[in-house]
Amino acid sequence: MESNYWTRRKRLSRRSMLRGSAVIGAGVAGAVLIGCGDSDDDGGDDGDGGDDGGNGDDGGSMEPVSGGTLTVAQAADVGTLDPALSASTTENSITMAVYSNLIRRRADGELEGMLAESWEANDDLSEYTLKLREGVSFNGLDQPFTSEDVKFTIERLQAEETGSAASAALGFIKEVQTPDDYTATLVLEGPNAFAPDTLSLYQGRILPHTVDGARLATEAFGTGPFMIESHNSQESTVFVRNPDYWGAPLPYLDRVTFQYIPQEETRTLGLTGGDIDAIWPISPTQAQQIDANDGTHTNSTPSGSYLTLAMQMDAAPFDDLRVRQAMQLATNRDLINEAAVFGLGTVAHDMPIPPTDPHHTGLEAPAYDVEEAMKLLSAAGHDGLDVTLHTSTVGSGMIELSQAMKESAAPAGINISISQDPEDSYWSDVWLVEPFTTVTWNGRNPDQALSIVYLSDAPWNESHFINEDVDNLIKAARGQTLEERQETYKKIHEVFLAEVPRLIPVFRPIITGIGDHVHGLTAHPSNWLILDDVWIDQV
Amino acid sequence: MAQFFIVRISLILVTLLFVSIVVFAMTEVLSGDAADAILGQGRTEENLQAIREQLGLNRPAHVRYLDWLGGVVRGDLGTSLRDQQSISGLVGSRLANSLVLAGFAFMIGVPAAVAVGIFAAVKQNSFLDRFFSVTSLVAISLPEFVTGIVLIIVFSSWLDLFPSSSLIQPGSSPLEQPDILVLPAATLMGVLFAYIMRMTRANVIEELNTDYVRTATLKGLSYRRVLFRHAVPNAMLPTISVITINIGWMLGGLIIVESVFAYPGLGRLLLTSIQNRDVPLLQALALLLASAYALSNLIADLSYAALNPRVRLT
Amino acid sequence: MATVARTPDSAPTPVAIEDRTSAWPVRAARAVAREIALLLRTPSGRIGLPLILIHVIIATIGPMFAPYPHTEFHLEHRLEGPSADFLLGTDQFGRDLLSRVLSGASSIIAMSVIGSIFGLVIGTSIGIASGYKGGMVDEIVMRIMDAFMSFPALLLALLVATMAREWDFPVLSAQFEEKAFIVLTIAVVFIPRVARVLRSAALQIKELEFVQSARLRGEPGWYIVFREILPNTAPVLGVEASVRLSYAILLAASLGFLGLGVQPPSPDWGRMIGESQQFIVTHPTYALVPAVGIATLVIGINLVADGLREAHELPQETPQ
Repeated sequence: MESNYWTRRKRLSRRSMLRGSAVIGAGVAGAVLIGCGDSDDDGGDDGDGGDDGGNGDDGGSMEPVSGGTLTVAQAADVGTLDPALSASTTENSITMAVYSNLIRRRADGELEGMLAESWEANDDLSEYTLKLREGVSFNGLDQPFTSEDVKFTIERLQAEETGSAASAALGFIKEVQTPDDYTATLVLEGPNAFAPDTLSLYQGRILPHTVDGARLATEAFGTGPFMIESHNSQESTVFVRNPDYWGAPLPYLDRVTFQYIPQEETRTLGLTGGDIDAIWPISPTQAQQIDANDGTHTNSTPSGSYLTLAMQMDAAPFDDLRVRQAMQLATNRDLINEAAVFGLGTVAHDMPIPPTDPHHTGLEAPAYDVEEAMKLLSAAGHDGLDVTLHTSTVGSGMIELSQAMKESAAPAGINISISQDPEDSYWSDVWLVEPFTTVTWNGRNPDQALSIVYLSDAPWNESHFINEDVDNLIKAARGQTLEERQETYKKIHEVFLAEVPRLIPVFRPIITGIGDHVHGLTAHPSNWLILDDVWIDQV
Repeated sequence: MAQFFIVRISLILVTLLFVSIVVFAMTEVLSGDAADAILGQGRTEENLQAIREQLGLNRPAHVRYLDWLGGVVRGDLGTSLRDQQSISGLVGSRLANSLVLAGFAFMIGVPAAVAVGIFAAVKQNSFLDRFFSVTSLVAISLPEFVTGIVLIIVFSSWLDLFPSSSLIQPGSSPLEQPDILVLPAATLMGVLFAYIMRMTRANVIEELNTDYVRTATLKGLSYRRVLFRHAVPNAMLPTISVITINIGWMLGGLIIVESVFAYPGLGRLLLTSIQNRDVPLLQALALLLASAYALSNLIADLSYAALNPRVRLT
Repeated sequence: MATVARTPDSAPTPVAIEDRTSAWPVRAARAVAREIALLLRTPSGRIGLPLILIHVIIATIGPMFAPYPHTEFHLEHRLEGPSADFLLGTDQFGRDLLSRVLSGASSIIAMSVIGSIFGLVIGTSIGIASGYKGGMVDEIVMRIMDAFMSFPALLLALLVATMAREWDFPVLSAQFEEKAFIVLTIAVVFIPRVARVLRSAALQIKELEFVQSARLRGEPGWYIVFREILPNTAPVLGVEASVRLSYAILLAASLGFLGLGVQPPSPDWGRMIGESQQFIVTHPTYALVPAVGIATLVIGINLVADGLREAHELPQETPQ
C-alpha cells in the first residue's frame, strides 16, 4: 500500500512494537472463518447458557487479556437508542453492547442462552418455558431482572403504538405468562420451532418494565456487558465495562468507543492508519485494501443477507408467467456475484435460505439461457422487452446488481433502463411501489425470511405473491421436525422456481476489517457486532 | 444611532421569521418525513402511524410550525426528531467546531492575504506578483471542493504532510489536533484570500500613485513609513468591507469544505438533517446560518460607515 | 434602512442607442460581435474566450469521440489509472473516465447556461421594472428580494434542489427533465441578486434625459423599460451575466458534489468528484480529471468577465 499520511502515522504507533505478536495473531485470522453451522433450530432441546460466548474460535494460541480500549468506526447512522425502534446496523451494535436478549444466535449458528438460561418446549412446540437467569440487575435502575420484564418487553414490541418493525415477527406469541419471578412461559398462536431463534432478533433486547419508554431514546437501561459513559449520536459513543455483568468475568475490554464516520473510505483509512481498531460492516470494495495492508486483515463469513430483484406479479409485463421465467433465464448469477460483491458472495437460486443453513434445499434455478428466454418472450407476445429497473445507493451492491442484470439480460432482447432513485426516498416512494426494483435484505431464519415477504398478507410482500398453498406450507413448517421442514422448504422452493415471484441471484458475505492486535471479533452471519469476548493485545 | 439599530434588528428578526417559514414550507413539500427516515426498510403503515404519533407529526402543519416557533421564542430549540437529543446540545458542539475552523481560516488567512497584497503592490509586475495574480485567479475560479480535493491530493497523498480527513478523537476539540485544521482552513480561505489579496493590491497601488504619497516621499519620509503609515491604512477601507461582507458568504463554503474533509461541523449536520427530514434540527440550523449571515452584513455596514465618514446610516 | 453602497459606484455611462433602423436580432448580433471584439483586445479575454470555446466544442461534439458508452461497466477494470485501453482510467464500476468526462461537459454547461438565462431574464425584468416603478411597489419587491438573499446561497440551493428533484416537469423529455430541477435551483438563487444589481442600474438610468423625454412623450411603461432602459444596462448586464454564469457552474458542481445534483448514471462532473473522493488516496486520477474540467471552464469564464470589465472600465466586483 502506498505511503500516505495515515500509514506514516501508523509507523509511529505502538502497533509497530507488537509486530512480533501480530505474527502469531495472524494465525488467529485463519481460524476465524465461520463455516456452516449445524444450527439446531429444534426448540425442543434445552439450550444451555454460554457464559463464555463461544463466538469465534481463537485457535487457542493466545490467552485473552483483560483491559484496554477498543475503537470501532461505523457509519454515522445513529438515531434512537430504543431497541424496539433500532433500524441501522450502527444502532444495533449499540444496543447489543448494553442490553441482553433472552437468547442469542452465535456466529456458528448455535443458540446460546443469555437472560434465559435454558428453555423447554412442550410436545407440539406451541408453548415454551424459559428458565430465567437470577441475580441480574438493570444498569441505572438498580432493579433486578424478573419475568415481568420479559412480558413487558415482548408486549411492548407487539404493541401497535410502539411502531416497532418487530411486531410482525413476534406476532406468533399469543401470551407471555409469568408463573414466578424467574420463569416465563410463551404461549404461541401455533406450533413454532423457530421461537427461540426469533427471540434473538435485535429488537428483542430485554427492557426493565418500570422504565418510561420515552427515556429509552436517549438512555440505556440494560443488562449487557457494557454501559454507556457518553453518547453523541453524531460523533461517538463511549462505553465502559459493566462491573455487574451477569456474564462476568466478561467482557475483557475496559472501554469501547464507537466512532461515527459517514464515509467508508475514511473508516478504512483510519483502520489502516492505526487510529481505529476495527471497522464494521464493510463492503467488498474495501476488503482487498485492508487485507493487503500490514497490520490489518478482514474476517468474513457467508450469510443469508441477499440482494433481490422484485417483480410485481400483478403489473404488466410481469403479470405474465412467461415474462418472469424469461427474466429468470436471463439472469447471469455468476456475473452478478462478480459485479455486486466482487465474487465474495455465494450464488443464490431464488430462495432466501443460504447454503450455510441446514434448511438449504439444494435446488437450483435454471441456468443462464438467452435463447430460451427469447423464445418465452415471443411466446408471451413480446418482441423484445423494455422495462425500467429502479435502484439506489441506499443498499450496498444494489447499483452493481442493476448494471449486471442489465448486461446479462440484454442479449435476450430485454432492454433494462435503470432508474437510479434518491436514497432518502427509496424506501418510502420506490420500494413496494414500482413494479421492478432492487432490494437488499438481511439474513434471518428461514421462517422469518419467508414469512415477511412471501405470505399473502406479509407486511413486505414485494411481488404481491398470493399463493395459499405456499402460505400453508410456510405455516406448517413451523411445527415440524428438522427433516420435515427440509422437505417443506424444498416444496416451497419448487413453487418459487416455477412461479418466479422474485429473483434472488446472490447471498452477500459479512465482512469486518480489524487490526491484527484485535482478537475474538468475528463476522457474524446476522450482521451483528458482538463484543463480549473481544480482547486486544496490550503493550 | 439607536434608531438605526432598532430598525435594523427588527428587520433581522422579520427576516429570520421569513426564513423559518420558507424552510418549513419547503420541508412540507419534500416527500417523506422523519418517520420514513427513522424506519427505513422496516416500515409498515402501522409502524409509520405509531412513530408519527410519537413525534407529533400527525398534527396539521400550522400547529407544528407555531408550536416550534413558540418554543424558539422561549429559547427552546426543541429535540431532534431522529434521535430525541436536545438540539441545542447537538448544535452546540458542532457550532464550536465550525467556529474553530472558520476562525482559524480567518485569523491566518486575512493577515496573510493583506500581507501578500501589499507585497504584490510594492513589487508590482515582478514575477512573484504575476504568480500571485495567476494563482488568485485560479483560486477564485475553483469551487471549494475542487480546491479541497487538489489540496488533499498534493499535501496528503503526495507529500504526506496532513491528514486527508478529520478524524477527531471523541471528546476532544479540533484545537487539540491542529494538523486536521490546516487543509480545510486553507480551502475555506482560498477564495477569500484571493479577493482580499487582489483588492488590497489594487488599492495599495492606487494609493501609491496619489499625490500625497508622492509628496510624502519627496519630503523625505522613508518609503516604508509612507507605505505603512499612510498608503496601507487608506487602502484598507474598501478591503475591510470586503472582508466583513464575506464572512456570510463563507458560510456556504463551510458546508462544502466540511463535506470534503468529513469535518464534524454544522455543515455536515445540515446535510444530514435534510436527508433525515429532521425538521426542528433543520430549522434551528437555518436560523443559525441566516442569523450569522445577517449579523455579518450588519457588521459590514457598520464597519464601512465607521471607516468612511461620508456614509451616513439612515 | 441603511443605504450603504457596498461597492464604489458602478453605474456605467449610458450610451444612447445609435442604431434604430435594423431589426432587433441584427442589433443584438452586432452588439455581441462588438463585445467579442472588445474582449479580444484585453489579455484576459484573449485567454478566456478560447478556453470557453474549447469547452463548448467538447460539449457539442465531444461525446461523438468518446471511446466507450459512458454507462458501460467494465467490472474487471475497476479503478484503474490511465492505460492504453482507458486513456484517463476508470471509475469504481470500471466505466471509462474519458467518455464520462466528455459526456458530462454538455450537461454542466447546458444547466448552468439555461439556469443563468432564466435567472437573468426574470431577475432583470423584476429589477428594472421595480426600479423604474419606484415607490411602494419597489420597496415591497426589494424587501422580498432581500429576504431571499438572507439565505446563504447554498442553503437555499440545497432546499430547492431537494424539493424540486421529485417534481415532474411534464413538458420536457426525460433527458431534460432530470436536469430541470438544477436549472430551477440556479434560477431561484440568482433572481434576487440579479434583480438588485439591475435595479440599481435602472434607478440611475431612469433619471436621464432621454428616459424623461420618453415619459413626457407618453410612451407606455413597458416600452420605456424594454427599449430605453434595458439596452442601456447592456454593459452591466454583460458583466453580470458572465459572473452569474461562473457562479452557476460552481453552484451546479457543488450540488453535484454533495450528491444533490443530477442523479446517476448521468455523468455529472461535480458528482463524479464527490464519488471519487473515497478513492482519492489510492486513485487520484479519478478525482483530478473532472476537477480540471470544471476548473478550466470557470477560469475561462472569469477571465472573460475580467476582460469585459476591463473593456468597459467597470470596477472590480466583489463576491456575492
